[in-house]
Amino acid sequence: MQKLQSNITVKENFKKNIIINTLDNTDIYLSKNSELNIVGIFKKGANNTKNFNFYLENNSKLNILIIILGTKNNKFTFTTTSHHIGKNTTSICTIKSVMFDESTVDYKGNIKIPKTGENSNSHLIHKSLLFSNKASINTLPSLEIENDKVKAGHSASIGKLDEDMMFYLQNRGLDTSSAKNLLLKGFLEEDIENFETKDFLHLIKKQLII
Amino acid sequence: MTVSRHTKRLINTTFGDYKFGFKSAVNNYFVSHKHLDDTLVKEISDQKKEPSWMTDFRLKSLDIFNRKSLPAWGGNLSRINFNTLHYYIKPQDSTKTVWNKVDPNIKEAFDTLGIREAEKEFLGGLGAQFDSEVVYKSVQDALKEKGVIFDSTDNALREHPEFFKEYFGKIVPANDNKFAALNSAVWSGGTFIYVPKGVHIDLPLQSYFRMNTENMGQFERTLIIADEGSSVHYIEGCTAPIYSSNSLHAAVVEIVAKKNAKVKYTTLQDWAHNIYNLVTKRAFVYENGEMIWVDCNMGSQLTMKYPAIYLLGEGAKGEVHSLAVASKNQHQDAGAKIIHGAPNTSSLVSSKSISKEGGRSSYRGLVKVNKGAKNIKSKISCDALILDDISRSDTYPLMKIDEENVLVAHEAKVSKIGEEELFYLMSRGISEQEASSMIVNGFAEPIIKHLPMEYAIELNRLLELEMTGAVG
Repeated sequence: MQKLQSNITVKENFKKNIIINTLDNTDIYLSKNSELNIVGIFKKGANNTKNFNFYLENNSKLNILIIILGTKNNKFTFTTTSHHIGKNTTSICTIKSVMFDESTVDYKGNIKIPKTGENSNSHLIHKSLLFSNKASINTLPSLEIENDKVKAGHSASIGKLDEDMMFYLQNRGLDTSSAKNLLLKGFLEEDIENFETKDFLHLIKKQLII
Repeated sequence: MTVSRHTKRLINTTFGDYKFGFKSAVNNYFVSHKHLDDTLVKEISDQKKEPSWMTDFRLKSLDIFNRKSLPAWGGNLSRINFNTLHYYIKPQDSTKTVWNKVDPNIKEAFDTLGIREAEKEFLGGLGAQFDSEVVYKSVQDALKEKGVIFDSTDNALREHPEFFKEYFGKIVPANDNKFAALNSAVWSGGTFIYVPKGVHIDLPLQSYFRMNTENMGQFERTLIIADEGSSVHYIEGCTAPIYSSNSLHAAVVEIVAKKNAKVKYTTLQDWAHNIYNLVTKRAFVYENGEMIWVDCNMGSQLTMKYPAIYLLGEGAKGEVHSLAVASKNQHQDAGAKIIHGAPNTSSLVSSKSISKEGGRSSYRGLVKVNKGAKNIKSKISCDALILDDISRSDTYPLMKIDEENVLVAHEAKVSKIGEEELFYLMSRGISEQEASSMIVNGFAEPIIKHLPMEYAIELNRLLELEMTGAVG
């Protein structure tokens, strides 16, 4: 057993917003009717695998956004597991990785819906942008479902900046680097805009400095 | 929200009772002992009068098998007892090229399955394997004249050893996995196809595999070589009688598609539900070549099969289309493996699974982009249908990308067709029966459309036919 570095419990009927900056083992419990928005912004990797576990009780809602800005030879090896133990739970887990230099991401995501997790709704998304041919991505977004009354999905995409979009922007007078920046900003921001609270949104943007 | 009653009933009737469970009484020509050791391997090789390099290859593979452990992932393999299996049963003295010379009891079994009618109507060639040996093999004269070789792997080894020295065991080496090693040690039967440069085979070639004996181990070995600019479509079907004890089917399939060649390989796997189906299938595709796997898994107790495509030449393409149905006591652990080893290669994986009555279906896939393989496009989509709350569905899609200039996309969903879709269709004036038929047909359609016309029509008709009968 790995030692757990941080445990977070969201109390019944509570709503919480959290930003984390260090990639570390984390266990999070969502009590009944609670809601959690959690944003992880990681610029520094870790030497060994870090595990994120999310436990969802009845009617709880979880929104996870993990942004990885990989530079130099940083290694980001981590897992996320959403355990839908209660009924009517929702979890949306979005991972965005932007990879420069020789950085690597090794990610295993899992959605577990046991027989008790009726009417759960779960999504796992991993999108990656590669800026270097020395960077690498391993991703395994998996599902384990033992219930027929669920909605579950996952998706992953890996690619580089779209050449057509670059061409379009450059056509309109932007130089290469500002066109790149603009597209990167768009890539990262599309999910941030989902957070309702303005202050929280502001905080995230400040952290990203994009 | 659950799957509608009609849809469930439709699927149950389509993939319902096992229809091929009859047994045939056959006087076997030769039956090997059950203990897996050097003597057994030598005995098989001796029976087949093989060259000594093949005997050595078998013995080396047995050694690898003994040293390798069972895979720790996937299905439960602990109940396989390697010392209670029949490794080699020769039901007939030799492979016949005339149907009437086949042993009457064996002939009857294949006639019951309707294999011969298919040959007359729409096949370019037909092979039939019964337990360990190919009992019948025939190919159209027109194809023979063009230089096409379609034979049992045993015969081909004797008559065309040059192909075997170059390719045999090179695409799937014996040390690839435990079951590939086992197959390499005790392989028997299977199909060998060689398509010469520029030859296109219009009608599909088919092999049918039948396991008859209880506690049988069937280890066919297939090698397909499509030379530059050629094309071929190969179909395999498999069934077996139902016994209370387990049988094992561990095949190895090796395919080479050279420059501009196109190979399509269709499997209709409908083993009885006491059979372990642990198969290694792999294709090497070179410049502008194309490989298509169409994989339908309805039968077996546990299937672990991941058809693989190695895209090794620029512009090569690969596709895997699979459909799995897991019912009571069944575990379908199937998927696809794509390795992009050259620039400008593309791949497409489309997987559909249905879990019912406590069955479990898993998609396990890998897409790997090697360094230097630039400008890659890959798309994977898998859909799963769970019909009740005792069934299970898993998805494990692994992606390993070591190159920047790629476009890889994966999407999967576990769905419960039912009220919403039904409501939508019914509100447009379609009756409930028709609507649920459309939904299930639509779900399986992308796979069915890849089957040869005759099979597709049959499967579609079956779906519709059962539909009208099912609604009370």
